[in-house]
Amino acid sequence: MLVLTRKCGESIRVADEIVFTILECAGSQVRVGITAPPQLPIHREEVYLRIREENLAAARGKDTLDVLLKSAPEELRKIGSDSGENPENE
Amino acid sequence: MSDKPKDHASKSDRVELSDPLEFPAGLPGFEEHKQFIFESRAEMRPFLWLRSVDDPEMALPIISCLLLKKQVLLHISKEELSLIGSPAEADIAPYYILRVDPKEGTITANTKAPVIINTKSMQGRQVILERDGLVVDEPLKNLVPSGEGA
Repeated sequence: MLVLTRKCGESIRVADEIVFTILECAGSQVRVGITAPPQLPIHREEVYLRIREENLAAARGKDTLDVLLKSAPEELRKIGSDSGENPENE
Repeated sequence: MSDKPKDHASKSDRVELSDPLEFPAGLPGFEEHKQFIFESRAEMRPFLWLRSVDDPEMALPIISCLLLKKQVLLHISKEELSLIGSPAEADIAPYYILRVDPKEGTITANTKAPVIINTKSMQGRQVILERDGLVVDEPLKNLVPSGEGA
């Protein structure tokens, strides 16, 4: 890992289009401003990892369909039985 | 068990498959999966499978956000929409990925990271929303339109 020391207001540039700027340091927290192209989504690491974990768990369920059908709220099951078409086909 | 992938090509059990959806970035945890299809069965409505074309064994249960409470409708940035071709509002189909717990018999929806589809270009991606109040494990019963929950 490359380690650089920066002061408040100073920046780090990555390639041509990505710039990290140290905006504020207070105690153990640092505020960082990031400029990057929109096609590069930026997320807090722990949030991304949580989404990843949820996706893996959602795909892992062996009895998923049975639980869906047994445990779905009644109101949703009514919606399902009332709608003859799939939402994506509307 | 009726959720085996072997069924998805069969017409006899009323399986409906969409055209392939392109996910250029894959999904978090499944970054190498670039193509998915919607798989629908009459008996599992209003739920659907979002099934990987690259690995048909991999499928995520989903539900259309449009069937659920209005206040959880999405706040997606123009930048995020630009990544699936900047669709008009009418051409955006949003879905929540569901997680089921067979032991507890519970269903939760990931309202923090919905899947959005451009129904014109058939491009999709999972967006991560920074808005407060959205969580990865919202009980599905809290999202039913009646408001009372189950």
